[in-house]
Amino acid sequence: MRLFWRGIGGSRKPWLMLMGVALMWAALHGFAWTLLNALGDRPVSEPWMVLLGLATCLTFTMMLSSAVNQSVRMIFERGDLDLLFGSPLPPLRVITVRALAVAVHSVALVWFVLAPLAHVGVWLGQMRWLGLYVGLAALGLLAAALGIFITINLVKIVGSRRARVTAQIVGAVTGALMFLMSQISAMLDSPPE
Amino acid sequence: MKPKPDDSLALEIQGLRKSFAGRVAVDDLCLQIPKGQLHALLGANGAGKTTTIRIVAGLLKADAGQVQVLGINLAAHALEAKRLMAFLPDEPLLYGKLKPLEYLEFVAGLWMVNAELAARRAEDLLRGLELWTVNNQYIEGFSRGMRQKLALAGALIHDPQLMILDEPLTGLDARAARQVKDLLLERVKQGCTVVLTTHILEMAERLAQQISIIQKGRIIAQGSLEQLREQARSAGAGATLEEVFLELTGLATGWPRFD
Repeated sequence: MRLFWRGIGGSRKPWLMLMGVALMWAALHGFAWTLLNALGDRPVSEPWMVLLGLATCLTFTMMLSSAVNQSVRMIFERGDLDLLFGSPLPPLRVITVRALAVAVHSVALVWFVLAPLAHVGVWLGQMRWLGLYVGLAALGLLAAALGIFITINLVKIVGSRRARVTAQIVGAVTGALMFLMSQISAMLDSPPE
Repeated sequence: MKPKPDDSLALEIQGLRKSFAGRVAVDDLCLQIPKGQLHALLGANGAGKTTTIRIVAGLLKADAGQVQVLGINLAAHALEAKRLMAFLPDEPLLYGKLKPLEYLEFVAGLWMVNAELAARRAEDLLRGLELWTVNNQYIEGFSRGMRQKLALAGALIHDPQLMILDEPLTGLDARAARQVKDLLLERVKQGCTVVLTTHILEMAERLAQQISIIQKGRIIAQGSLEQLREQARSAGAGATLEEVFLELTGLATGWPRFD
């Protein structure tokens, strides 16, 4: 945790960073409030279901890309496995903690964006939105498991640096596809001419 | 009847074998190192030194053979063996965003050293290695020599009985090298066994009580410098370790004459 905090520049004016994050999260809660109030309790139409399904797939792809990136960093580039495996710590504990760290990293950003929907949903009495937490946890663990598996095999073929580049390209392409999807949703909403 | 492990030995290796993708790195290697000795493991690049010591440190699994660390079977009781030893790779990782004391406290925690004891030892080690004055700086700003000294302090924080060091003096200036040498000799006097690999043969000649030479994954010669000189008779009576090493490994070079 200390390394992560200092790595993101947290030791320099931490209050400024925390305030910025808090403001952003508050804004996301506001957006969630507006969205859930507009949606209300009415059932989701089929085109929207398809779009949500696609969004879930693309979100998972982004999580997988992040998991591969983090796996390369934690397994091959961080370089502290000699110290950890050379210590009297049980190796399985080391691997488990690393895998969980990969899962947390891969789900963190998605959770930051989507968790407000769950919080506001609960506030509005729509308990089904709590399923987001369970779904994100499951997807995060799956992304971590697949990410570590892909990383080990990808690094064997192309090396650690190219494995990271591959993961970053996949993440960028997925991000672009998500932008295109948002335009499709706008087209679905606009009335026919 | 299975022979009882020899309690006078810090390290006993029998019939060690390890291959990587069909290439034999360690080939039926046998080695015995008594307790309280500073032992140098010498060999050319690719001879099998690093593979051997990484197996002893529990970082690689051998294909065959047995390793006993301080009487403990490494394969059967790896964690127990690791509690008593320290391994320092040739390029140790130090967390750049930590300060020296924080790093030592972290390593002490891995070896379950009591916090108060760890803090005392950490201060003693940092003062002894002239790193106490930079205790408030992040490790990322340290020179190569400072990092190596700090890594060595990390290897000593839990007071190991066996230390395995891979090229511990690489990149150190004369003063830092002297500090490290003195520290290692002090530890040996206190009963610790030190096994180190090095390409600096003068250092091995001056420090090591016993020397083993590895070639093609096997020990081809072992003993004190005097004993190695006898084995390499053609090297001469007062031959340096370098001359003995080149003679025994058959690696003596002859530059072509340009007439």
